[in-house]
Amino acid sequence: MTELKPEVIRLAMNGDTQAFRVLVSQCQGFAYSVSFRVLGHAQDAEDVVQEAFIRLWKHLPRYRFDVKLSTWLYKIIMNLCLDHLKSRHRQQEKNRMEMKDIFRTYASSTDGIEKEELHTLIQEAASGLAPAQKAVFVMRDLEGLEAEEVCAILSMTAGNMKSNLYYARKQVAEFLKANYQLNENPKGYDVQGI
Amino acid sequence: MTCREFEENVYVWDLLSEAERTEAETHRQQCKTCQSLAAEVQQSREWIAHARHYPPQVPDHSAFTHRIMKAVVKPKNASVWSVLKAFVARESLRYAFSVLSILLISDFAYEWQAADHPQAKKWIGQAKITLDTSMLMENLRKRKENKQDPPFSLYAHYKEKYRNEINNN
Repeated sequence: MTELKPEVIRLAMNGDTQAFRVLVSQCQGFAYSVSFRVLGHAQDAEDVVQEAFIRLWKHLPRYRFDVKLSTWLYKIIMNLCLDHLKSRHRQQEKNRMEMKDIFRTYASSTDGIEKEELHTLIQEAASGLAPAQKAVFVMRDLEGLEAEEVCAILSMTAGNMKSNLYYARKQVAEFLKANYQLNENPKGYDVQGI
Repeated sequence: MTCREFEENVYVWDLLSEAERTEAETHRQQCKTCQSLAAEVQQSREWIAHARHYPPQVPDHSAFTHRIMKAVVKPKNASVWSVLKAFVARESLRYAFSVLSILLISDFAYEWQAADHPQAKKWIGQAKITLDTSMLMENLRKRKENKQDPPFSLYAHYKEKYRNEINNN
């Protein structure tokens, strides 16, 4: 994500809608990405992102520059997503039915059915996680945020985050092991070696 | 370090301190089971890292920005005060409603006076505006006669009472 210019943020804080439009345009990509990964449903993700920006606009005059705006927005989005997940607990079946959305969304950015399958499997594995585990997993492993930032966004201690991440990764790894057969690193992506 | 402890560490390898990594690494070199587990975890981390590089995309970037901005800058729900202000701002509407209100109040005052004032009653009687209920009463009487055993009705009870008063007057 490109860093937001402080002058744009200041203008938006003073009620400049054009500046806020720039801000929305720059941030909606990662906002949608994280909410989609947590919720696993395109329409819900769009609704959450819209609500997050409405809240951001409302509370923007109180923003202080000691925290990154993206961290602030992540926090709003994650709170909304977690609330949504709790309220949607009984709608798990609907979530599964909407898995085809994931295929459609990834299809534009990937070029092979195996990659689509991998992404869908990861999303499906994540859908079985508890909300806190899913949030940590998405932020840390799929969004690639630093551990400290994840703790700040989710208001968690380092130990709590580590514990949630352990259970999440274990469950996802077991799911992938059971369901995905491609035994190679597709493009040699760098992961911290074990 | 036990195999159980190694398993707890290997999934969160990136969060371990140098000392913890060294200890886990020492255990792995000595344990075939944990070497296998570490390889599996490494494999799954690579798959996940691959997915990281293909984030879900907003279907239509500019349309989505427009949708968000429309929701952000939409006008607030109209309050009673804002409706009143909008009403007051339209001069012709304001005068029309004022005239209509004055007419309605005048008419109400006239009717009220006409109903209570004896002179007004007399005038209304002369003008033959008073409602003649004799035909209605006759119909009611006939209907009652035709009915053998009418059910009790509170409305009918009070209607009978007041009808008698009217007849007496």
